Amino acid sequence: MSSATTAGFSRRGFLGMLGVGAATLAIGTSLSACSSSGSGGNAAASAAVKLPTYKEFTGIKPDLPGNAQGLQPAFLSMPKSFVKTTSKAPLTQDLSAYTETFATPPPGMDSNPFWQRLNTALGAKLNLTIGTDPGYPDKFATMLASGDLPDLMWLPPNQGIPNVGPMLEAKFTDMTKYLSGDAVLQYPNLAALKPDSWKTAVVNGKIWGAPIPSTPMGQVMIGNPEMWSKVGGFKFTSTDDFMAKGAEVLKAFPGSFVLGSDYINEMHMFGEWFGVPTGWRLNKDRTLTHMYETPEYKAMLAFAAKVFKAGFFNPDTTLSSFNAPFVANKLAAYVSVGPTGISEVRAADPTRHGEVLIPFGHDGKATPVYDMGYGTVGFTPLKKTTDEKRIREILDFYNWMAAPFGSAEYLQKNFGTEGQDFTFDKNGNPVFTKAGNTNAPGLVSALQIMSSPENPIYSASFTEDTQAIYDASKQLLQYASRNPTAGTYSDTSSKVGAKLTTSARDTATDILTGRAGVDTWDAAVAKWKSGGGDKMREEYQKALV
Amino acid sequence: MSPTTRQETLETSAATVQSGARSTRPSAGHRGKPARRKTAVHHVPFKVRWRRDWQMVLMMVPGVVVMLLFAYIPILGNVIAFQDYQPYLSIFEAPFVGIEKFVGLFDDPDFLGAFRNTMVLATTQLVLFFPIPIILALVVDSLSNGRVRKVFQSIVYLPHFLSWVLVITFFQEFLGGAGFINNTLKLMGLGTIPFMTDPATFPLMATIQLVWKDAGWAMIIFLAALSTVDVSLYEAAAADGAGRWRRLWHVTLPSLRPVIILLLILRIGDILSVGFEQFILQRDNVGPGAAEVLDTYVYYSGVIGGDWSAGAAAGLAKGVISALLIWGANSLAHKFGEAGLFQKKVG
Amino acid sequence: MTLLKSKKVPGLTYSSNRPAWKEKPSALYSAMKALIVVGVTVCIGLPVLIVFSTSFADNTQILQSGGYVLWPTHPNLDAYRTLFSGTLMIRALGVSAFITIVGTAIALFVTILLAYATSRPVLFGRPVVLAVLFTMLFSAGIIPMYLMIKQLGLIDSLWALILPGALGGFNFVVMRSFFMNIPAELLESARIDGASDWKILWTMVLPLSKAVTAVVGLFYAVGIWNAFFNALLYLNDTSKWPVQVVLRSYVLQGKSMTADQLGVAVQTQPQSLQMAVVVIALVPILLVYPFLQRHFTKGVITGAVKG
Repeated sequence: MSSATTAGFSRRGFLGMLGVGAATLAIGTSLSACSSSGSGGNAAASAAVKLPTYKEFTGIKPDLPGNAQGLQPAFLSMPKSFVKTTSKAPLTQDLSAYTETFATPPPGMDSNPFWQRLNTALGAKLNLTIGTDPGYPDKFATMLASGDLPDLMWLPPNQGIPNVGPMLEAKFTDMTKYLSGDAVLQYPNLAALKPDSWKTAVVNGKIWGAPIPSTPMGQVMIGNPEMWSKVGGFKFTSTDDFMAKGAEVLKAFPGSFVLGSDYINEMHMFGEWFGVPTGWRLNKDRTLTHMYETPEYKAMLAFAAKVFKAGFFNPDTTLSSFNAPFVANKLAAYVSVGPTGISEVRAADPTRHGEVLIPFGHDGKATPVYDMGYGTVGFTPLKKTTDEKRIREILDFYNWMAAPFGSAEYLQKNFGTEGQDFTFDKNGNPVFTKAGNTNAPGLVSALQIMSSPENPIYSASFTEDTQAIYDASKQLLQYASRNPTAGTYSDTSSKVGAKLTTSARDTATDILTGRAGVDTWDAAVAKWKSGGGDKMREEYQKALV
Repeated sequence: MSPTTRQETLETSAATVQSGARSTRPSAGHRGKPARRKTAVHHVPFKVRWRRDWQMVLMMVPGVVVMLLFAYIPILGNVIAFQDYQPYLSIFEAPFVGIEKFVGLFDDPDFLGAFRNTMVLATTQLVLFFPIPIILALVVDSLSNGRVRKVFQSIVYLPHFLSWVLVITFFQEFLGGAGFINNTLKLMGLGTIPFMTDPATFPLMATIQLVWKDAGWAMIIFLAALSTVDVSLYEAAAADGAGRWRRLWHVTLPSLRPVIILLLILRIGDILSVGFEQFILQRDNVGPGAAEVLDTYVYYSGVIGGDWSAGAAAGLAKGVISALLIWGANSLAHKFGEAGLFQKKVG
Repeated sequence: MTLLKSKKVPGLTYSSNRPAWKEKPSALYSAMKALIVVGVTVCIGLPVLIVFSTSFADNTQILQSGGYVLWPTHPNLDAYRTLFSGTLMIRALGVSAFITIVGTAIALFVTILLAYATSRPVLFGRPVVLAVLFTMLFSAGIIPMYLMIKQLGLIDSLWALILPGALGGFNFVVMRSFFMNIPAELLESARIDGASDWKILWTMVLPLSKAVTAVVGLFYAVGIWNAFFNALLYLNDTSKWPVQVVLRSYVLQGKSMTADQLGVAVQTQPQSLQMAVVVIALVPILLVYPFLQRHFTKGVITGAVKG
């Protein structure tokens, strides 16, 4: 533990030594050393907890290797043999859970053979209450208030479920002693989850369940190659270059727009070019500066207003999808969740694809930033119980659900049974049968946010996309930056953070669209500080010592 | 006996003479002057009224039970407005904080901005939207070709069933910065017009959207009211030589008046709710300076932040203001001799 | 229409629907009316047509025309086939039909009784009216409602979607005001003749109130048909979900803020499917409305009173 602490400390020291604007250089060994230590970025109490020991799963070799900085391994095709990673079915009694689906809800268990076969594999019935968005947090609150909880409830990190700390203490089971340190090795699939992922599940110095890893990559700008190739490609040396090429695109494609109308996301991308810190900047004197307070942010706003004035943005904010204008060459670029966004347009036209923009310095000299994403989609805590047998069973369940890509359990969870729910195509990729297509996707989406392995990059139909995403990720990671407060809990932030952010974003949007001048930003920052920003800073600083 | 109206005489005599046989009730009093009847009510003893009205009271039971179960008992939960409530605590554990949540509401300049926007939008809607369903109903009512009437009637109310997302998408496809009109202007080398993104004209735009979506739906109630107009009145008026417009003015509109007044009062009482989805969708288009309304404010401060108590406080404050508005509008209606929403004091 | 027609003097050739006392419309008046009718029809009909057309159009045409088509060149039913694959949608339609029919019947029953009972100056009438008005101004939060539904054992029961809405304040007020407009003399004379209040309601008041019953019934039916949030809260079993919840799950995919921020993979649905969703929600209303329309016809009350 002592070496880990040193590593964590050294990272902060390293950050502190860098000047303004360059703090975002936080990359490389220093960061990853910290990440694997688990001591960085947890509230004072949380700092004491020993994260589960990381033990990589080596049973399946990816085609393109991942790395500790966050690069995801990639599979160009599904592995040929499916290794079994557990020795027995995890459950002996039925399990109930509240979760959410991001696909069409599945048919109920009675009329869903895919679900029934999953139950068989699990050893007992998995009774799911499946929520949708919007409505998930509302139902979460009502269930909580009624006191009648299912065994497991998915706790999303970003849907406005406040005061997580006291809530967990009151209603859920502390699993620290079963997961911390080497204890986790009893559950090899959980031990294969990266320490960065585990941080999500640590609150108040306790581990509350298994985290659900997602891509560690953050938002990127996706370009339309057909349009940008006319002006020399989707890469820029400076914001002036961007403005010039954008204007040419508008000329070459009458009636088109350079950017989508999702102003907040676009400003997020601009911020990366200007070196705006990722959330907070950790200063030399170990104080924090919020991105809103930095001169870089204000410079970015002035630039955003210029872009708007030039007519680059599609002004209609309620665009239902970017695919249609993208395919019609009416939209040159938009912001997507991550490098995987290059495949999004395939749904509309399989022959088209997008291109990832690698951030550049706004003046051609400054170092850009690439903001990493949440990295996880929260965790799924168990309702309060002291029944050790039950807790062990739930851990077995987590472990089963977290079986890595290419394992037998993974195949069962995501695709079902061969011949019934799916068949293999000529390249060995599983493809749903008609029945599988009806029964599986809604349920699989819900299962994926209960407990999951680390995700590789994989596309069954477009191998070239897998390669492109892998390459882009590699390039993006050289500018990678993470929020220093990530995984840290601030009471004020959980109470008023969302409201303050909304208010600041409103002003930023007003400035971008020209409804307000850049000078109004200072007042917005003052309001943000007095409304709780300063208090948040204090709390985070205390937690980071 | 003090001076009495006809009904009172009837009542009292019925009560005393027939003692519990089928006594008459005073008329509902929507056409008379309610204030005058105030004194009459208390002269009828409870027992007599019970014997007279027990069947009616029995009919109220299902409605009252539904109301108690699904409105009144749950409404007690609003006590959390005075607490610092969290869903994982029970209401009995949550600490009381007095009126802190209300103070927080009225201290916030954003709240006042939202309040102002709501009033501007509501007033625009009241002036521009309210008359249109009435006009539409009159148009439908005047269509003498049965087929045209049927088809027209079934088309106008359809947009009510389209979601706001779709409605605004259609408006954008047509009027938006990248929409049909502006694209045409651009191709002709003219400048574009920011129909959808100008905060100054947003109340007008929002009202036009509302008219498109809901005027046909709101029309239905007036159509129903028109169906109760006594046709013999028209015949009589026509026989007296009243033309089309005079009949409209002297027969149709007076018949519609009670319904119009009623809906107007309800609308005034509901003035603080101008809609939610319509505004949250266009918030970035015109900025919160124009599109933030009370409901979106509560959403951002209460729901997003998970502050259930603040949400309840906002709901209570809104209810109190609405109650005052309804009461005021109703009193005004009485001044003009209208029945209004509820009677002052009739038995 | 029917009532007017039946009273018509036959042989008026110039307009079969115009009563004898009505003058021939002037050219200007007719033109004005025609303009309104055509204008409104186009403004509304066109977007609705686009919804229908797009739901039948193929993907290529939709993409070429920027998302919406006016008329499908290669019409197909793919979108509907996707929606109706599996049992989810068919079950949901059954559930929605059940709750809408039963729910409307119950709500009408409750509302008619309460509205009639309070439309006359009777014992407890005024406090009950004020009590209903109060519920229109102050509403309960979702948590106390959920606790009540749970106490009554209605979680995961379709009755949770029916009973709480059985008395709508607005509908009550509208209905009551129509009942109040029925001449009191008419009802009082029946009472003197010994008819019970129950009998008066069903044999005299309701036949006179077909229009408002149709309107309020429509309001209730549409309210229940469109509701989705209660279903999300009170029903855990997806096979009990009504159609709107299922439809929303198709429409909202790919637009979820959560999914976006979290980087969760979402299925994006083709535009034709999204429009098909709108169509499915519209069609039942389109089918029911013509049956209600006939009640919105002038002359109902005269005929009845005179008859």
